[in-house]
Amino acid sequence: MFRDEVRLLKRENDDIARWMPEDDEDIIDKIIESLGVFRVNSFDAQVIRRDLIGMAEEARLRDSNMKEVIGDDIKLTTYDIIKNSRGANKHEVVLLYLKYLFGIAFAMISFFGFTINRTLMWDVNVLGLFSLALSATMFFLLAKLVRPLLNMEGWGRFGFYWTFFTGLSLVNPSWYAAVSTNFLDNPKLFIPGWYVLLISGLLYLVSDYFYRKNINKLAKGESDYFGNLTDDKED
Amino acid sequence: MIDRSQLMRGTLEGCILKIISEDETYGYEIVSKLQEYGFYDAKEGTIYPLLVRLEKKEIISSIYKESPLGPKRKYYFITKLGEEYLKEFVSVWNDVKYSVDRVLEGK
Repeated sequence: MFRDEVRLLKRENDDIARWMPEDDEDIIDKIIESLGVFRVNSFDAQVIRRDLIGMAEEARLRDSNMKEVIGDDIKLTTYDIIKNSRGANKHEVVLLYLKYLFGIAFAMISFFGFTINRTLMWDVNVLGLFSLALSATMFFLLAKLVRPLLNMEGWGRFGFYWTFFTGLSLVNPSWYAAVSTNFLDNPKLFIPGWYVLLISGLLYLVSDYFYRKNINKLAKGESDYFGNLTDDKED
Repeated sequence: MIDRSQLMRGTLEGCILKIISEDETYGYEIVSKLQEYGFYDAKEGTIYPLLVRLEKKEIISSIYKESPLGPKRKYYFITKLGEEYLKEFVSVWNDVKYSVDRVLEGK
């Protein structure tokens, strides 16, 4: 399997960021959460986060802080970073969407299928599946497109809650429709639940594999940031 | 009022590249040098997007290295392409400077 450069960099960033003063962390989070996969690819976003954490570290050693380093206009800095970055990667957006789609389908159908029907041998409504796919699409767009835009406009945590609950309200009726045997009582509209579970699970794994492969491709040719950062630990 | 930072923004890229071409350097050092030269408004937050842009265009490259202060620091250095770009910038800047000077002096 491919190592996921984004996950490794994120873990490294999380470790380094632990010591940071809350105000500095808030500024960095605000910038990073405003980037979004539709504007900056995930690998570059983690490299940018590492750079910002580095700036905060240096500022702290000079008895300064991120507010002084960035200036008052965080939105302008974020906009400049987005404008000057390599931008989004369309393969990443598609593969991430597929991960959302199959991941949500697998999780929702297995969890609620078991809790409502209490057996492996339940049937899933096809129309409900389409509805679930539509909801997963909306959830993906809300989380990855709308939320970063709201964040950039200063919505902060309120933007997160708004996105989360709007997404949930869309997904909620869909899973019920997908697993409910009472929904449109036409036998032709039902397919075995285990069949959907198997397909969605497999497709999730396939999209995850290609997602990692694509991230690796994005990282290729760039400086080996993770390698640079972890030299000491490997020595 | 003239927005000084807006006026400077276009030329800052070339100045940053010139500083990096002298020796490999890091963000805060670039800012300090720019301030010494009179770019008093320069901050790391201002120059960072430009460094991202220069790196994207493969004009500069970077590596994380140990710093005497402790945490690893991102050092920037100029590439072959960057050296060509810098020569071009100096040439274009001299042309622009010459023209603007002539306009302002009314020659």
